[in-house]
Amino acid sequence: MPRLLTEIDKIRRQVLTEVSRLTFEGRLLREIEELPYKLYDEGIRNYRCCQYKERAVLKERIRLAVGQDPKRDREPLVNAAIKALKEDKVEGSMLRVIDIACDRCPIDAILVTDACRNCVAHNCVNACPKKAIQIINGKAVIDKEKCVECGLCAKACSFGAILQLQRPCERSCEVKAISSSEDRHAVIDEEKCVSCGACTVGCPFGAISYKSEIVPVIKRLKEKDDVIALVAPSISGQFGRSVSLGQVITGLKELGFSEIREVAVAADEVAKLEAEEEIDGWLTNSCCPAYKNYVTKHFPELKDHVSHQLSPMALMATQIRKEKPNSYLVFIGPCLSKKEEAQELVDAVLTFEEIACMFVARDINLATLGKSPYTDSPSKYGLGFAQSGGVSAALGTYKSVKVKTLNGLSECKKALLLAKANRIDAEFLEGMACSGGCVGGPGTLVDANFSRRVLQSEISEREKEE
Amino acid sequence: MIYLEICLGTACHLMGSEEIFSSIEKLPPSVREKITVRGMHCLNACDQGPNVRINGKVYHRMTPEKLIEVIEEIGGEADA
Repeated sequence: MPRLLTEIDKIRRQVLTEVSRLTFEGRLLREIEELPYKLYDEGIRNYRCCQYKERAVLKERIRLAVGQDPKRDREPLVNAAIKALKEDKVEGSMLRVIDIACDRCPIDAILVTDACRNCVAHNCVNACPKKAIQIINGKAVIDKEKCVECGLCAKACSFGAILQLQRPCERSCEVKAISSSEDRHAVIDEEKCVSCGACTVGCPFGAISYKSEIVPVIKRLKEKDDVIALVAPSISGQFGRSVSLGQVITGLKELGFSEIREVAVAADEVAKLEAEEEIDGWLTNSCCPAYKNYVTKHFPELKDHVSHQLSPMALMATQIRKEKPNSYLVFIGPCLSKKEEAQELVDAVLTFEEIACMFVARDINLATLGKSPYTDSPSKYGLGFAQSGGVSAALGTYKSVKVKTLNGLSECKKALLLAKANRIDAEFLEGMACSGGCVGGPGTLVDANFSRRVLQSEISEREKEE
Repeated sequence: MIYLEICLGTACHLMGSEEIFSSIEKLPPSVREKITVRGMHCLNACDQGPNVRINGKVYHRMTPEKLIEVIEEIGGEADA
């Protein structure tokens, strides 16, 4: 998470914590309808025009927290709760637009500001290929009918008086999957969306968020089923500087998980298998689901270059499932795209944020817990999958290949365009949709640089122990 | 001298106590050296985090901006 914690994050976390608490305590059906009022009274207010809108927005955030799609009609929350408790799995696309929270920001793509000096050169007029700019009353005026929003005028103005603007959701989306509907609400094009979750961070109104899977997981934990946690390598440092992985394992056991496994060991295996794969010119990783979606949806002609290995999560789930067919598998990580990758392989995917809200709902304070032993012993390379460059480093232990690390979707885009034109200067492309790799994912709790530091110290500590 | 205790319990962490910590690390050295920072495990107000205790007084729902205000206030008093 390469950004500061915002009010939007705090609100979402409060909602998730309350929904977790009600579900754990068996009060969800009885009290969900009151929850928007409770949260409003506890201080989620003064963000919107009035209390009615504030609660209407909260209502949809609660609907997402129980894994249901936001609605526009007046359907009561209890219906969502009934459905959530009945269903075993959260279905459909995970990233949703909350229409009522969307500001429908009326951003003109090109805006002439008061800094326009009505200069003599009129570079803007000259630069416009559509002759859409006229000088009226001493100021450049753009004819919206003619303007094609190319931005040449903004670049040409000597005063920088013309701004080229974009809606923040659209700007955050590298794959251009977000547009606005006729009534200017944000709309996600599922055909283009790779589920990276950047828009959930990008929208400053918190109008795009994700459907949570806390309710089905809590249900299984309460039924005392064999619920196994598969934790992502990026877990290092997620719960703060004073909490070690051993303490997180104790906390997960207190929540009711029967076993805690580290996906990093499967990452070690994936690296080995990937190194053995035949390379037709070049190969690229399959472990980042948003990146994999990006290649298959936007560069279908390159999809044969994607490694045929399962992701570490999928590989580990398959192995555990063979031994324990009746277990319920929960992946815990930084990723929203994993929620859709999971499908049949994993029963549920929680973000670090969701699991932290579950700890708080059960009054589990990780900082005060004792350490439990680890079940797995991943190598430093398996643990390194958490950060950009980690997959390449792991591969490098098996064979020497020329690698190119692509950090974030915009770098991925550039490299894939070159690859498409057969101008690729590497044998292995390591693509990560999130900047910094998994540690920069939208479901993380701490800054990517912080967790990278903790990861390094944890790696050296584990090496010492061995 | 300012004695600052930051709660690192899970509830406070979820609401951003790590950011409070890093905001202290980013202060200019002249201000930073006047502050002794310590992590805490709980300040018994888990639903109002992040909680910090400054010279014995507990503050709830702390943010990096609010913290700097409080530090300036206390620093000003000490100088006067």
